[in-house]
Amino acid sequence: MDESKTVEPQKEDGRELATGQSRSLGISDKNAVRAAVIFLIAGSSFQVLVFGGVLTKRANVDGVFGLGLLGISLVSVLALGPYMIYQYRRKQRLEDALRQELSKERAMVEREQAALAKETRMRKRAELLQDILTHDMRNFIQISTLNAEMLKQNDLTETERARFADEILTNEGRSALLVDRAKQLGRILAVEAADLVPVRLVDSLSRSMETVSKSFASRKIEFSIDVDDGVRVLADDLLDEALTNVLSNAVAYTDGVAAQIRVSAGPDQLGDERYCKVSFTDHGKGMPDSLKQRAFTRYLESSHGSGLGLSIVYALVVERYSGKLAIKDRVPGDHTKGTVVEMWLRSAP
Amino acid sequence: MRGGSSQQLLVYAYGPGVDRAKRAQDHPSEPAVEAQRSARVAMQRKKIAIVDDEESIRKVYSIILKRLGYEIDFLAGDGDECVRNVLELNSLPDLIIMDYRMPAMDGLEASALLLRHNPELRIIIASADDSIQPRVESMGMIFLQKPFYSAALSAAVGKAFSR
Repeated sequence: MDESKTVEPQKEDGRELATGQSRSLGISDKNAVRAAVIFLIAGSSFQVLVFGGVLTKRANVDGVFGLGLLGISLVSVLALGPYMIYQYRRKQRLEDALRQELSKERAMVEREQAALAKETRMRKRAELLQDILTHDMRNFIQISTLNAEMLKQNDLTETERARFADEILTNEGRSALLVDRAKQLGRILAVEAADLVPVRLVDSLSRSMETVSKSFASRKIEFSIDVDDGVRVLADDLLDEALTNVLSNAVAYTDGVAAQIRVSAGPDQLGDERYCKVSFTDHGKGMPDSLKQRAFTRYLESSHGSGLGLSIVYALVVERYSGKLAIKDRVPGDHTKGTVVEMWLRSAP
Repeated sequence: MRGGSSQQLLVYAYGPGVDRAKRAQDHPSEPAVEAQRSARVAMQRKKIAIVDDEESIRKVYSIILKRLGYEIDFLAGDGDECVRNVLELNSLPDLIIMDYRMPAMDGLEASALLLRHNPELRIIIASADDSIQPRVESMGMIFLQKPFYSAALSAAVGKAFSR
């Protein structure tokens, strides 16, 4: 009947579907009530006519018969009401069951759509990551190949020879770092949800500074920390990776042997959420505005921009910890004087 | 970021045709090397611009090309910087060797702007991304896929100048 036609599962919009469903129930109810009323009127009229006829024409003979007919008609009218109520309730139960079934199906479709969207997003990211890694690795191979070729030349001075050898060694180090960080980023992206716990910021900073100092053993790094001991943020054990990558970046993009990095932290309110704003200030060669915008998301969104380290920072701080990141010039308007990386992490309650 | 293009650089040249047997021995002293290099005649005086966001690549291309006898017009770390050098600072390189993926403006975008300004400009796109090769060639440029040996660079430059 109408129900199977009007409650069509192909309607995707839930609200539209619900409206269509109630509309079909309304029509059915009206028909049922109308049929019941017509039946009652017709039945009662028939009984009145029959009973009236019996009383006027065959009062003496058929009085008992007429009363019998009246009784039967009263019983039938009394029975019709409960039947109609039963039918109405039965239909309601069916409709409720159908509505629940549709709701379940809709939830399942939504879950499947979300899973598909996530899978597509992850696949695109994996492809992009692979694409850019391949590109960067080929660039490293290019540097090593040409420098090795130069090293084979016979007419080099010792200084030139050392310079080519240094280029190859530096490049090998960068290649190894790229592979390590790619592995790290892949691991971070693969984890669906993180259990965030209160983490003491100074502890994570201390460990990160130690890691960076060891990585850049030939550099003279001066860290200046202005963070209260009691500051705790919502993070996990990977917070060290985020901080290490920001600090490494600051050292890597500072020319010369010495590198000065200042880290400060303080409370900040963004909307209803309480954050801890951590600022990393360096005196490096800075970042032009065109790079700042996409520096964090190169390996996640675009093939342009800065390195893999900042993409790891983004994946952790923004995507995993629901924080925020920004880059600005240390000296406003002059990007060549160094950079300030600002990181907002949710404060632990 | 303009590279040096003085006469001094040309003495490093020893391109195809130079008698390699006459090169210095394994560990010559620096004055001896200089003397040997000075004795060589510059084969080419064409000016080449190198555009790549990787400093090490700019450096090593520059060394190789100088040794091949070319002059380095300028070095740029981005397509945008290259376009500014040519269109605003009026640099006139005979050839541009350009990377594709660069931060602010990529190699194809920069090439399109430069070719609109000067359709005769020779450009080699040296990139690790071979998916752009058809587009590069359809624009009349030469595609060189990274990684390559210096002989391939030399051959591509020779091809560009023979056009």
